[in-house]
Amino acid sequence: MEYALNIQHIDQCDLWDDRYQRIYFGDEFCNENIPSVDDTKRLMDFCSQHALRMTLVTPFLTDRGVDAYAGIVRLLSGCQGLDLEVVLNDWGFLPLCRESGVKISLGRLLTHQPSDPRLGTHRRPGKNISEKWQRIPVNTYFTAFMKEQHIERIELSNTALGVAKEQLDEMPFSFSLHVPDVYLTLTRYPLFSGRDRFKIFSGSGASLPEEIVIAIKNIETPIFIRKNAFFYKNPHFEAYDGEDHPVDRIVYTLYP
Amino acid sequence: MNIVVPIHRVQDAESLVAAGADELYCGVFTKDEWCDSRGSGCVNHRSEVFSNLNDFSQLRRLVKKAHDLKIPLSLVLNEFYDDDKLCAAMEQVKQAYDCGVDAVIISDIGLLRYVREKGYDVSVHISSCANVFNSHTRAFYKNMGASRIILPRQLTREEIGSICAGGGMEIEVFILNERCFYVDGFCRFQHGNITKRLGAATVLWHFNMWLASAAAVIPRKILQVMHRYVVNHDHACCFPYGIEDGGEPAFRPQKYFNDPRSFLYACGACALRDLKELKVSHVKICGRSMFTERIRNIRFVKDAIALSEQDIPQGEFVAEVRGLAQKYRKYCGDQYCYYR
Repeated sequence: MEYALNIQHIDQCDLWDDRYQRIYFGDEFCNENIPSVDDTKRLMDFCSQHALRMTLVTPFLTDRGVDAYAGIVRLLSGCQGLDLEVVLNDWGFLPLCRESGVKISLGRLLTHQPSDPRLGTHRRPGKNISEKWQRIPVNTYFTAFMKEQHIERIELSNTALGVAKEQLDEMPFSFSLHVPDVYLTLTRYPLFSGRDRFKIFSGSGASLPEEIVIAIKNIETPIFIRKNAFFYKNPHFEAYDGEDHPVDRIVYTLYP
Repeated sequence: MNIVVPIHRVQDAESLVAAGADELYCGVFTKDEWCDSRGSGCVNHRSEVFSNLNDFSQLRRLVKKAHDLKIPLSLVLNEFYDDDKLCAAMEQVKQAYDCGVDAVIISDIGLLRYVREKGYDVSVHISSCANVFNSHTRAFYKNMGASRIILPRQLTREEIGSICAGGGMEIEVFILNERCFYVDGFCRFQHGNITKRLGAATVLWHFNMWLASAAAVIPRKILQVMHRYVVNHDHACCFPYGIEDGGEPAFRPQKYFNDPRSFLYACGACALRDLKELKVSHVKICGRSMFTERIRNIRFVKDAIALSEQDIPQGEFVAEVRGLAQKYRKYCGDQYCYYR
């Protein structure tokens, strides 16, 4: 099992310790939070200093975002000896990844893994529907497409319902599991940036903390919002931590 | 600029076209699929039985009627599928092709590959659930054989322009109804059928075939109230929420991420002139599950398009569209505005 640390900013390198052999760098959900070339260079130095592998995480992208990440990928792919991997969350970015020769992993936005926390608690008498919800919506035709495009890995959330191991066993991919945050949904802009055309908060959002816990009627699990994405927490991943499990990488997101 | 309109009953086709619809789109949710997929949703993004046609004989009749009226019809298959559900979706493609539909609206790359590999002679429209946020993704889908992109709701006019600029594809954008706060294709909230609060009532609402048939005779005002009540409490799009307040989350039911009213009645009519300049070819009226106001919606958009073609100053155009909104009893304001 490989352990990775997921960070969004270069100053979060302080969270690293020698349990982690890889660093995920970048924001998987927000296209407003693009790392700078300088910060990426600093992270490359950090990785090479500590003999770490590196994964660049990209979100869904506007044209401006594609241009910005293209510069970063070109920089990284030109570095000798750097075993670079990119988490892809926008099909428009695929040709550039292919051209640059980096390894590609299918991000959580493109995996479409069911993760509504209500699915874990809902049962009909005599019917266990949970197995259906443990399956990720990846089919044979899509698998063939991904293999053609040299996509070798899929990123998964550690959903409360679990993942269908037998489905993963049948797939020709490696899998990463993100803990403890389970991705749920996102909005276009960070919620408190005031850029969305919705009247959410009557007061100023400026004094609100970066992470906000909310209660939603009909959902027992506390939901939290970070920037533009909604998550819930599931820290239990013991079931994946065995030799024979197709998940071969655990990605931790830690917060200072 | 063409108006694309949802339909869920064969008998509505003539009135929708007479009001100004240039294209129709629909889903099919058969009784077999309903029995098989109880609890896991259907092969399109609307798990309510009454938002869909309920068998392929209805689709065949609808295709014939649409073609008699000289307009195209698209079938919606805008979900993401594992192998089990892909089989159901492929069966729908096959049946729909036999019925003569003009296009399929797709979000799953596997299904898109299947349609193209099997050589089905139908156009492929890429659903807003596929999240085309940039011109590179537009080119990606064009290379895969799609002829139209339906853009997500959250794009700005400038971003729409940059996607349109590449040319070579039809571009469709939302113009009326159901503007969700969340980005549709990235949302993992399960829509429908898992509420606890309304329990059996919601199951009835989403899955009862009898209710689907009865919807044709239930007074529309009552249906609208029922729909709104369920939407507000079952769909994550309109959940009320509370922010944690020193430990325990404080529930404040007056707060909504999407106010149900602005969610249901969103509008982008005053951007029509810009959208046309940006080379948007189609505008979509959303809401396959809406029972009321459909004729009024089409007339409103039709009139607004006609206004956008007049040689009047921009300020006057916007004022005229607002006047139209009042005339057609549509809401207007920041929280309703698609493309402010």
